[in-house]
Amino acid sequence: MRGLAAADVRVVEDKRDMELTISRRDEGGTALLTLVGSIDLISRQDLITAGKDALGEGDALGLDMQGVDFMDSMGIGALIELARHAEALGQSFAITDKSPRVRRVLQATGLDDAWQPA
Amino acid sequence: MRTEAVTALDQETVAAHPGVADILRKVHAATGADEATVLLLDRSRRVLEQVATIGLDRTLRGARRVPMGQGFAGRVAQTRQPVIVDEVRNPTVINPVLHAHGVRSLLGVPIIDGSELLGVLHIGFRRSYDFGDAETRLLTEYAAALGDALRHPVIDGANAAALTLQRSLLPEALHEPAGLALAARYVPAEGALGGDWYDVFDLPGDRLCVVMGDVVGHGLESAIVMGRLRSALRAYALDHDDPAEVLHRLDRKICHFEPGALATVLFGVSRHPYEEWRFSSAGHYPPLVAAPGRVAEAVDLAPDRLLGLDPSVPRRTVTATVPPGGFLCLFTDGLVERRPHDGDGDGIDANIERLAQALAAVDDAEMGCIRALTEVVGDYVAEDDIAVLVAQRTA
Repeated sequence: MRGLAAADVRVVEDKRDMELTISRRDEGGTALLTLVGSIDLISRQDLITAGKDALGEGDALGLDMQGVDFMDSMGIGALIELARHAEALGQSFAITDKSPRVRRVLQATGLDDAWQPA
Repeated sequence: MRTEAVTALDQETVAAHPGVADILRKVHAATGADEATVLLLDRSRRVLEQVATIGLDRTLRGARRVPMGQGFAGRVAQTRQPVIVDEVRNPTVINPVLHAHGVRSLLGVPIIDGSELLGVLHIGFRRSYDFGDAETRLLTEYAAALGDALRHPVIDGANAAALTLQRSLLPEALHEPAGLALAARYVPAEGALGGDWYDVFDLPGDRLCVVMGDVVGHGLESAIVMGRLRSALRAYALDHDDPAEVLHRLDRKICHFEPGALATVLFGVSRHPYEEWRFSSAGHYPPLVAAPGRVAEAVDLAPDRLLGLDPSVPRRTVTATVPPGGFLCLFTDGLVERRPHDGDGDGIDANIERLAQALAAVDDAEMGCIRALTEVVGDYVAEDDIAVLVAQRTA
């Protein structure tokens, strides 16, 4: 901020200590990513990278989101990006399990019937 | 003497006027008060907004606006006179922040530049304090110094252009038709801009439209997409009567011209006396409706897909009824979606219920907004933009 010494003025700041752990299991061409933790502005990038890597190496991508305790519209954006990427590659994308939080956010955005497993 | 940091609640204003922080520090040091705060009139000139403070470090985001004439700061502004409050009681001091900080006595003076009222400067003590003429004179002198500091912003040419553009993306003063009282709050997560917006506008045929929208993401980039959506929605609403049709067309527009952008929108239309409303939701939480003094209920409206995904998805319009004197509340997900690690394991629906309860205890739209923010968000520092709009039938 111009004109002010940094030490003099304290700006109301956000706390960030979100974590998302992603583990991958491959079964006959399908990559299953198990997500545990929070999907937010920062961790969504890890999800997108892991998802695109998996799609590049296999035929299909599945997400187990039972352990996702926080997700907001940024997370929805990440899921949509992966779904589009899968579609562009002609591969399938599905959410195999949802936590109550994930279910609620998908319902709120009209996506409760999207990305169902075959 | 312990040096306390100035908390800048409006970063843009504090950065443009370095004198504000300096003077606040001097006021705090000179008076030994437990809090010293500067509020400024916003663009509508009907609401005061806290811009900087020492001592109110746990200030509730979004609860820092006080309507002119109401409460303590509002009374100072309206009367343009110093006001002393010996014992802070809830109805007098409308701002729950002061109450939460245990402030017991207050002295406030108007900040005047020439003949123009700019805002209010106040100091408070956490104990009962006998303010005298000396304190009032001292504070009035500091207020004059603030008036000078505020007259000359430190802004260069490039910044000025950016700021003008940014200001064009901020919510405008609310259009209030006869028969409906409105209040709204917009609390961006970062800086002064974000992807949330609310809009109220009238259309030929005595129609009134309300909009609550949320571009996924925040900051300047989202604000730019938001500006386009806000404008396009108005254009489609002008030509199409059905809310679902308006959102369908908006979806086609965003999918074609802003690929990759995603947004949720709630769009409603009504006519005087604003009893019957027609709503359509694109991935947006439905509005709440409350009879006066009663807990609100969500309108039975299951959201259709958010915008930006697939314009061929079917969209529906639903009718809702607001009783005489009743409230209608629209909000964005930033209000009800919270982090699990903030010691609060409640889900989204618990927060919606908190909002519904908050609306049972208010008399007017302005208090509805204030309580929506203090009861639901509290002093949780939000990471997503927040917008809330409350309308009350007065016809």
